[in-house]
Amino acid sequence: MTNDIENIRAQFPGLRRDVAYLDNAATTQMHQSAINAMNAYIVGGRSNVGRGLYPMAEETMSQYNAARLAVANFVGADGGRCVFTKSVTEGLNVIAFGLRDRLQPGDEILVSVFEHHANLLPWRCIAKERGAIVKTMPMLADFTLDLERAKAMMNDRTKIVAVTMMSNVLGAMLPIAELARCAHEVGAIIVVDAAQAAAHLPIDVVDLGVDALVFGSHKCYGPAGIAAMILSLDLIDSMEPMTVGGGMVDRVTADGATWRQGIEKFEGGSPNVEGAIGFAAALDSISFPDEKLRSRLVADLKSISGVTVFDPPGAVGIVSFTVNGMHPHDVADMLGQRGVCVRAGNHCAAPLVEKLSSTGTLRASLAMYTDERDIEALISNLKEIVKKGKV
Amino acid sequence: MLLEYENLLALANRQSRRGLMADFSTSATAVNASCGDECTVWLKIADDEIVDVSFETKGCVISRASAAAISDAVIGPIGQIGLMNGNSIRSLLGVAVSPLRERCLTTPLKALQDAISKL
Repeated sequence: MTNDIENIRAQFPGLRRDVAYLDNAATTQMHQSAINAMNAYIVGGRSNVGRGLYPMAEETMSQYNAARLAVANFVGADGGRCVFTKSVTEGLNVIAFGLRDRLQPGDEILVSVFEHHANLLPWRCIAKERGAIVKTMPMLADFTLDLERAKAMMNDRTKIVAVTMMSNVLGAMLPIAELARCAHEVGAIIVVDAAQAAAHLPIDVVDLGVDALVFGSHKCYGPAGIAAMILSLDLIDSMEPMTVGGGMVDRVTADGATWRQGIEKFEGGSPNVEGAIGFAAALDSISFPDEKLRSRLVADLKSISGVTVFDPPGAVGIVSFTVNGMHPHDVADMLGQRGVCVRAGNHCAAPLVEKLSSTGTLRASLAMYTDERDIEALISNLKEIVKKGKV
Repeated sequence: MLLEYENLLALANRQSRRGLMADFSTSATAVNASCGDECTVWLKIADDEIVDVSFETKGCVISRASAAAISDAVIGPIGQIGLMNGNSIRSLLGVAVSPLRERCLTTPLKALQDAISKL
């Protein structure tokens, strides 16, 4: 096991810095395979896609399409359902704004209390525009989704269920397949934010039965600036694009234009080819974090007097906690000065975090390269900070 | 140089110039959106001069110490407030504060400048 983790860590140049990196829910370190793939593409001569008529452009197109297929396959989809965007946030906005014309006044959009702002604010915006209502599926006292309440909230007014697969604050997992089944029973579309989940467990969009799922590269050991949205064929056909311009038009006349069919409709502008290639390479090398480390982290945090741990049953990869009498920003700053990288604040999920703590939480998040030393560094330094006095 | 929190604790926890002021001239609240911390300031103004100030700060050591340091420094012409920034507060505190904590540092100043702008 020790050799295994050492071999894994050796594939991440970013880990050569002498820190315990536990902010993986924000961004992971990049896998060497992603760096190599992007480097090979760039130094081998790059071109745009879908424009040039020379062999190098054909090679680029081939690499871009291969990357799309690999990224789609990672979540059980075919390449014809995978659209590249610059981020998960952008993908969720594209879907929300693409669906707004389906909404009538009084229609309902269901989100969960666990949503990152990226999967909350776009729905609020389109609801406001269309006179629709955003309702929030609550959680139970153990910080898991109140599934019975969620089911009871779905009715014939429900048009969209937009839900995260894994809380970026708590690591809580949501029962996506069951929510999808219930959403479809009332004729609603289900949109899933898998930004966190993709790096922590296998995903199959067919098994889950979801209409749209979005996940990104930089939380999966690939480059920043690229994400993928997997769409049902119905959504691909019926949604209007948010970005119009080069690369997505079928025909432009003196006073009008028509869009290409299929996924190309959603990729206006020159695409991030090297990002797509790096994304695919990173996914080809991915493994999931050792959840025994999370259990140990939770136990060790709970052993420190004054530390409160938020630990939903079934959670993976992420642990939120607070220190009594100490502001999370101060603790995170002091940990950072000691070489331990965690995040503090509301984690872009203010409605959830406000229910946990009035000043935010500290968050430690694991990756495929996290090992015992990272956990020990956090725990030993946190004990020192707590002992030094309440600030 | 690393920030030594212990150096700021006494200032952050100081009770003077805290809380709602009677007969204040202007007031404003600023929020640090990244964590939800907030700071409210009350000012008493006479002849374009700040003659009294009080803060109420819900936040980290840096934001609370910043509010206390600012409250010591701003008695005088209101024109000086527009010239203050994060580095001014660093000088008042006498410690290094990371640029990553800029909003912690400047939330009280934002409240102060918003209160002045209401006049």
